[in-house]
Amino acid sequence: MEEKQAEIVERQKQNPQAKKENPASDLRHPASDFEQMTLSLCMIAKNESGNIGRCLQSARNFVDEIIVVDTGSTDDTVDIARDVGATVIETEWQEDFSLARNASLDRATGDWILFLDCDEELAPGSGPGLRELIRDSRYEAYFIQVSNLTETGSKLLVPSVRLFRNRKAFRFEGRIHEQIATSIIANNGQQSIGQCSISIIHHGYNGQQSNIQAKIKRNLKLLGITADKEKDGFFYYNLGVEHLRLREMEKALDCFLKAAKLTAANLGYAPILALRTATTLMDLSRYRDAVRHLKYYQGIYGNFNDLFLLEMLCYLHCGWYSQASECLQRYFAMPPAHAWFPTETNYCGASAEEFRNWLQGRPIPKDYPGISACIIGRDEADHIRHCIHSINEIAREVIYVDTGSTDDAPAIAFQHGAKVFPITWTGNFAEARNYALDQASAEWILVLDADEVLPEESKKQTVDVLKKAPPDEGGYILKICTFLDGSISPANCHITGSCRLFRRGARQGGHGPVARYRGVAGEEVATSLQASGQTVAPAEITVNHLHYQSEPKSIDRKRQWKIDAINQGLQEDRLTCNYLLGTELFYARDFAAASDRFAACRKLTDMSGTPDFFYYYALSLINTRDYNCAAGILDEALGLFPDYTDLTYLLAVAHSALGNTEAAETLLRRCLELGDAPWQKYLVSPGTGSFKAMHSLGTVLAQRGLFAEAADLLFQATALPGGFEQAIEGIVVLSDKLDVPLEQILEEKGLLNPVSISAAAKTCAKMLRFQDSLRYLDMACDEVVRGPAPRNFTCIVQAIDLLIKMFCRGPAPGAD
Amino acid sequence: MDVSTIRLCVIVRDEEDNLAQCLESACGFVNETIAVDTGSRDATPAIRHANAEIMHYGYSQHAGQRREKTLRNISILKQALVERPGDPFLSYNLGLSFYALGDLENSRHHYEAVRQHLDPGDMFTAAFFRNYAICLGDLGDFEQALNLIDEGLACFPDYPDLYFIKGEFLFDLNLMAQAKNSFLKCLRFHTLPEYVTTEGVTGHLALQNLAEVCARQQDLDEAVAYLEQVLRIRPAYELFAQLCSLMRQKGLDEGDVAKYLENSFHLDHPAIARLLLDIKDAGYGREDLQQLEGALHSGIATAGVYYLLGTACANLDRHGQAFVYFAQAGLQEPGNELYAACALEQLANQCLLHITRMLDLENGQVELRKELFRLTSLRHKAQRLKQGLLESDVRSKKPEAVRKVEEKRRWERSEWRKSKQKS
Repeated sequence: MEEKQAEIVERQKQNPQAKKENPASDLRHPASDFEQMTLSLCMIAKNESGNIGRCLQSARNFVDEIIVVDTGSTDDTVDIARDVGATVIETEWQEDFSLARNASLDRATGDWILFLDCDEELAPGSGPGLRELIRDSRYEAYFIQVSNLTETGSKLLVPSVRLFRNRKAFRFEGRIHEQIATSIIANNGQQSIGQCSISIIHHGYNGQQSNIQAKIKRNLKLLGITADKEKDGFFYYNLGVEHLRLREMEKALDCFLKAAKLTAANLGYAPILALRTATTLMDLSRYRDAVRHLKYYQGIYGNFNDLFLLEMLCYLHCGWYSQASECLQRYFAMPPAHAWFPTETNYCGASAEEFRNWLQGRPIPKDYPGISACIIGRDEADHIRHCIHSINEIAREVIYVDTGSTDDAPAIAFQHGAKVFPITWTGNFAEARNYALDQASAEWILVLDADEVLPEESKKQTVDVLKKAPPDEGGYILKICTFLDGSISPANCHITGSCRLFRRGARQGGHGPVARYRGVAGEEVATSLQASGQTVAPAEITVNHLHYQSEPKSIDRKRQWKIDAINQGLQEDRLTCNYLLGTELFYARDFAAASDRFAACRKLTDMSGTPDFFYYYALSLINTRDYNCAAGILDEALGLFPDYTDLTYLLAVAHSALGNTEAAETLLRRCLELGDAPWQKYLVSPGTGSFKAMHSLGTVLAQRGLFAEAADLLFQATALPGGFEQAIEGIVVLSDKLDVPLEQILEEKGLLNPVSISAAAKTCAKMLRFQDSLRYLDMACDEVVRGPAPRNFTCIVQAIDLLIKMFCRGPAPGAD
Repeated sequence: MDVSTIRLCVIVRDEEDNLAQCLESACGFVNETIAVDTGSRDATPAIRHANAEIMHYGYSQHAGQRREKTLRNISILKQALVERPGDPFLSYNLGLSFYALGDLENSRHHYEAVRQHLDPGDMFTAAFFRNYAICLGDLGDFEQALNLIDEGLACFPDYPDLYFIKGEFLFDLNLMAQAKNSFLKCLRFHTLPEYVTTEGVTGHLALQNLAEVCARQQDLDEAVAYLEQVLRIRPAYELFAQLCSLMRQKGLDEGDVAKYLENSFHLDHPAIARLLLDIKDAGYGREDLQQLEGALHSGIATAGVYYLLGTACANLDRHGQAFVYFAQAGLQEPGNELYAACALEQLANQCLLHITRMLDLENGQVELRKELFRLTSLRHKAQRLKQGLLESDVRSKKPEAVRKVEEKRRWERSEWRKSKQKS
């Protein structure tokens, strides 16, 4: 059979213009005594020279003739097709896919027709099955699985009618997304279409191919030509799909919703419409709407398994791990979906199994007292989803009080499952917080700001603390880490304790919640708890405060609201007013103004200040280079709070700046003895009792020539979280003084990795030692390339950027 | 009876390679010849011809006139825009005019305005994509340029120039495999009369670029194959030189190369000799580098020496080393823009090497791609700055030695040309 095929193709090759004789007679096996069914491959093409060869090659050995209708190629599509032995009919493109396809059907002489697009191919192994299917069939047509490779790498399998008997009545309809199933069903009924195991691979929309945009634009144009009365559900569905491909999500959703109104659930494309609507809603982060939509269609379609997978994903995106896990279990327990329904091998870049693995250990059993999360916020659209996501798993309800957002923060909060309460802002923080408390219903309250996040570890810790909470304990002080720049690095953060987890009401019942916030600004709740006879204790639960990761404009705006509130509400209490304004100015880095405010505070009272007060005041003075004054303040403060390491560290900095290196050294050693200060008592900057002191002391010792001790300290510092980059800087300087190549030092200490080496490159760039910097950069790249995946490119890119930036600033005259 | 006379009029600028031939071809058929040189900086002014009067006007006058004409056009167009605001054709022409003036930013501004009102049905739309893309490329904004080209291809999927320009951008970005695809696509199309096109885009130009891509990817045999195809259509000196260079890289010695050139292309011996000599001298070979390093070691550490060392290393693709040398030159003469530009270019080259190496491992990594565009753009700016400084002899800090070598090469080439004419 194969040889005969080859023979015919050979003949066609030599004589491409010759009219085809009836191919069926050529292929009749001499020994057979029943008629062979013949198969024609029909295609349309335009400028597909890159694709058509692959398509024809995949099918040529399994078909008896190939008809290609070319609608005006200007490349060598036609030649390629003729080379393979196709009959090419050259026509003019008339903006109508059905017209073109039907032209190919008109010329086909086989008993059965297979149609493929140029950017498709018959899957390997499907060919022989084809001949079997048509040999002795009781069907008029077959559904074939078309496998689409999406941009994310997953495969979407869509059943389509591609194989059918060559009957005059079976013709394509529709200018675009032409359907033949309609005419087949109309003539012979739905049961005349059978299932099979043939599959076709569609390459059309993966990123490797060029001209996707061209196809989308073409499709949109064709859809645009559709007359109003032809705009049915299928039309809107296809329009939505094209918008999706252009990533125009809102428009796509609009089309899908229109389509849904016009689509009955039993129509062929209805399931995939439901699927796409859901995924589009999820892309727009409208998870609540998506879940509602999915549940509705789950009710209609019994075993459309992917709907459950998507539901799981919605829960996952909102942080409801328990619910996601449950949903996933239900999905796995379902029987395989009916072949009608499209399935996708993975969503969001991972398979169902991978999600199951990821979810291991994340759901938290609900055997602890209920928690209401209370959040207030304004214009925090970027942050609010992360905040809510991080607490949904452990909070029974999330109360979000919106104090006048102009962005879509309230909508986002709603879609992530929160209860949203918009109120008017009166410049009173306590009032807003108390309003939130009033809406809560669970036993315990967890207060977060919209720009805060509860890290994963903290969830378990919270739950454990609550399970063991003694009845007298009214609330807990949590560890709030404020990261002062864009990074989440311990090297640059402040840690304070704040009472954020507390009982809502008195434990004996009583009227209304006992917990009440006080204070227009700088509001706190602990006092009200203690007043009712309960205790407040620290708990080792971290909350990450990501305020400084916002845009600078947003940070400034929030600061202004706070300052306005302070000025407005604290006119009587000058002391608190000045103190709070001082801290705001401090964080705005206006240290001179901040120092003035703090000085004013001192004048207003005889009482000594809080430890925080001294910290802010001293650091402001240091930043304005008033070292003597700072030293004086710090001496006084250390008398009161000798275990507040940060003060000792600041004093060392002041002395160092004044040139008193011996005093500085002593103080730094003291810091190391003390270790990092307890965050429960004080505002702490991590590292002042560890890596920061080590680095500073190391530098001082190196200057004195005590290299060994300095090196020791620096290496200790590299091991501590947050101390790494600074320590590498110190080591680079040290390697110079020791006249030992840096690589050697790093290797001895097991630190020869891309991150260290690129940190060294950065250090050299900062020191304007460009040659060295480039050398380390080369080294770091070699290491990255040599190492296994996953690779860390960030350190390299940062080093490159810094090197270029420092070089463009201009090489310093006389350097090196 | 009055016999009509013919006067040949030629305007030239920087045509040392061609002018003589041009005049020679016509001199038997015209009564008089006038050639006007509008400001050549090459050897054109030195050319003499028996029957031609060659007049030299400096750069300022004639180019100034041209410039004034363009400025006048611009004001007319702007006036028309007031009457018909948003008219894309007017904006398009403004874009073209500013580009002609070398004012890339204004050119981009007006091209961008065209985009809002673009209609694929308009006559100039295809050309718009082509010309705007070229402008963006000149600005070094490769990311935007690629996006624009893709948009253009969406409307005109059979416009080979767009594939060609895309290929050139991808080449600059060092995305060789993709560049190759683009150029291959060019070859598959026939040029259509309705498109503004550069001749050769579906033929010899694409082949030439394919040869270069293959050479970069170290597919020397393929590169040679492409070059051979081009040379059969258009035998050009530079291409022969490239071919020789490739043959040498493949390991053939001079004798083999000579034999090959003789058999395949029927070049005569003087021509072959010139070629071999030229590629030997091309851009400071290794011997020059050794000499310069020797000078450095014996204490001659001037800015000029560092500059030459940098250039030599750059030509040998030793970007890191070149950067160091240029930076040293810059230290000797702080404020010298040329040294700074050269150094920055080489630094960018070296960093780009790393980025493309890493991209090979993890294709499509977002961070790396962003960095790729950024660095390519940076390098492009440094290159343009460098070109600008090198071209202006008046302000040039180019050392004498460099100028001398460049002159020598020019002479070699014109000698080769002359010898070709004789044979």
